[in-house]
Amino acid sequence: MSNDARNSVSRRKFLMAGAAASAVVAGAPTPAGAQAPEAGWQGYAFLTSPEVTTLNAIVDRLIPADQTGPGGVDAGVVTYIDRQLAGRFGAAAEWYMQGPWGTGTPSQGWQFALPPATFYRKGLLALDRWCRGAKDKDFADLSAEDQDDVLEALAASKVDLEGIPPAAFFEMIRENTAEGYLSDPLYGGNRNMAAWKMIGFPGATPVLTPAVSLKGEAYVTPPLAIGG
Amino acid sequence: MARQMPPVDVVIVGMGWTGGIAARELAGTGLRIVGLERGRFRDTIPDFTAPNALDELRYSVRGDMFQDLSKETVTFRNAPNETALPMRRLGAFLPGTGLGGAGMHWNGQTYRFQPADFQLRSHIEKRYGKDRIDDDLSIQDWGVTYDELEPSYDKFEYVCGISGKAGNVQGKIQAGGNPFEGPRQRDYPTPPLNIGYAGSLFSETARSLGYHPFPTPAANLSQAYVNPDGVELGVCTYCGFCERFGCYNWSKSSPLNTVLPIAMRNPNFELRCEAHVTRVNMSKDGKTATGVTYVDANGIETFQPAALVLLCAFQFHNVRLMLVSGIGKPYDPAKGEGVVGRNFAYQTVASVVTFFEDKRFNTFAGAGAMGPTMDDFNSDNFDHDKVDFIGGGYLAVHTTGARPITQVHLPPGTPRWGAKWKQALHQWYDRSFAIGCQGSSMARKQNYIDIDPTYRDIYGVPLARMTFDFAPNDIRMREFLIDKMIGIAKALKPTHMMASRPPVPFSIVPYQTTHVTGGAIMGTDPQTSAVNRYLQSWDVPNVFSIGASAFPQNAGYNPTDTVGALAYWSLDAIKSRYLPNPGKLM
Repeated sequence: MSNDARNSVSRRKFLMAGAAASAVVAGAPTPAGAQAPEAGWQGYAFLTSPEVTTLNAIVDRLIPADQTGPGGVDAGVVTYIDRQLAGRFGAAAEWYMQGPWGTGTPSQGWQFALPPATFYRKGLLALDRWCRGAKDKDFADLSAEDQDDVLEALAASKVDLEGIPPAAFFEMIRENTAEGYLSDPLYGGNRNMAAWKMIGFPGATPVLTPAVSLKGEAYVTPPLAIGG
Repeated sequence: MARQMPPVDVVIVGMGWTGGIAARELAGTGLRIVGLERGRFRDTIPDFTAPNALDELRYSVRGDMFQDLSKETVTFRNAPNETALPMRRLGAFLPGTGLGGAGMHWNGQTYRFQPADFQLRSHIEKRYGKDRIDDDLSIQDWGVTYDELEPSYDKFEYVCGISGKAGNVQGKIQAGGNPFEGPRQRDYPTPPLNIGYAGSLFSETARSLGYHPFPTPAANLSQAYVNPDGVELGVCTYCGFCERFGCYNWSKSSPLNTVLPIAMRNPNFELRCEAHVTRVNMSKDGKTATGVTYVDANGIETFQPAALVLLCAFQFHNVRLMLVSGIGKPYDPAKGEGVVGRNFAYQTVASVVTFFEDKRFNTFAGAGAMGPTMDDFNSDNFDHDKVDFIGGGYLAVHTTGARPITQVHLPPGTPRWGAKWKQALHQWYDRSFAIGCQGSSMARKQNYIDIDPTYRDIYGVPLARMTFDFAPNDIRMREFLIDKMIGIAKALKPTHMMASRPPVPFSIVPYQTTHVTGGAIMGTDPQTSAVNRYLQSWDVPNVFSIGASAFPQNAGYNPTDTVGALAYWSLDAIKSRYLPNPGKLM
């Protein structure tokens, strides 16, 4: 199947899937697969329900739950990403965003005109569309093995995201997922400091003087979060 | 038409280390001084209180204390035949903004440069011959000697309360210090920090191989200290949130807890924050500065007349202000003429990470300058007859923290995501440390700063354009230092080890170091330097440009001690010679 044919198929399916997703949102305030924040500001500030479904599936593969500790989804990573995209990061508020825009060399770094919020919005839509064309399913409905294959293909720029650079898109999600998992719970992820407890990081503990005199044994202290 | 302010005697552009030192040193003169800072006012309370300041995402990842690139950035290319594009996101280096400048978020590694570093070209030519210097290099002598700068180094270190162990006091080598250092008049004001378990292992191993490790001179204080001005600093608690962060405990010497408190008590000093200087105003004949123009927090363009203009901004901004204001002749690499923008240099870094499955290092307990350094392969401390490069660098193990988003090392071959990544994070967190090198950066004819023809900041001023790639000399030096680090790493008998090199050609993307230097370099010849040996513009004598922009090339050390020393050196000449008789000092 040529790329063009695949895209035209995926576009038809996308329109139908979009209608179905809207119906789910209208009929159920807390759709299946989406997670509500535990406390404080309820609901999502930026992400749509279909985006939450796709991101949940991606984050679940990037940091799966296992016996070493919670997975990224349980730790609140999707809530973290939502808050980041709704805020200054999502708006590229501290990036130089004036044109003209060029592609440049790898040494010249990031040269994309879209701020992260738009990058996610367009990238997630295009990813599901590509999955429907190539695999006949949304990303979230693929098997774990197929999801890993798609993520590998994204990282290797082998997925057409219709103008969104696939490797940079994957890298942004990977980075934001690690941030949400390991940052202070203040930002919505790392719930109950579970990731810090898993590795033994003391968080925002200001006095660690006794630890610097130890000779190879672990200094164990409960972690401290900024919010207590 | 710009709003006009009443004239003052001195205007200082930038209130970081050098601007703060200038304001402090001029406090007793009775002169009317205005200090302009582009960023906002801040103080330890409320800006850096614990635990709020110990926030990796806000400060290290999102860069709360760094330059806001939406307002201004630089453009970059590797070579003059490429088209420069804007640095849209921070990466390789992290300029600061706000009161105290980058002096708030630095590590605090406070090394002096070597005596030979200040006479680099003449020293190399004398010892090894002229043909030892590659044709692409434009290195030169500083026009000031180590001995001349020594009192200024001493002054900066005592104002900061630096924690360390002298290696050479008035020519006498001291056990436990750096035997390669130039003679200093006295020991450090406070004893060294604890170097930690990783640092002890490195020190013992390096010593067993015949090297000479010593505790890194630290602006993270090992004990409480009262500086000569009566300003109090606290004791470091090894919280591991130092570089990229403000210190919650007044333990990291910074402009805010050393020189600014004295400057601010001076009734003739006025600080204006959120005042972004766009140019130095010039007389019609272009020979005298009449003041500076800035945009204030309300967006009002304002002219501040002044008899003396001190450029104390970060390296890029000092150079850009000179270029856009017409102070000195811009450098043209094609013709090899002009001086402003010339000899832009950086730093050559690499690391070797060692992993130990049976050890915990508690590396989350750290400080910006905690650990040992060795200078055996720095500067000209070893015989360069046997190697194919000039220069060198220190090797060190600095335990600065183990902040989990940005500071975790995982063994070679670990996937970057998924179950195996997570398991490796669990298994290997805090079971590694890095040996790093801080190599010199030789100035090169095709590395320079000029004015970008296309891109502008939000005030409409053209951006500085940076053209830079590593000199082949420095890449050869880097491989030599990596070999030495691998030799020590092997002797440590780690479970795994991994060498890490920033990409060649130089890339703006991965963080390497904030030590950008040159562009308004000092010297004794107006054909090859933008400022004279007192940091005074050759062309416009009532303008001084103070900071790392004055380095003719960069040495194998962190620059701040030398930046501080040059500021005191320049201010001493301003006070003792310029102010009594304003005019050319050379």
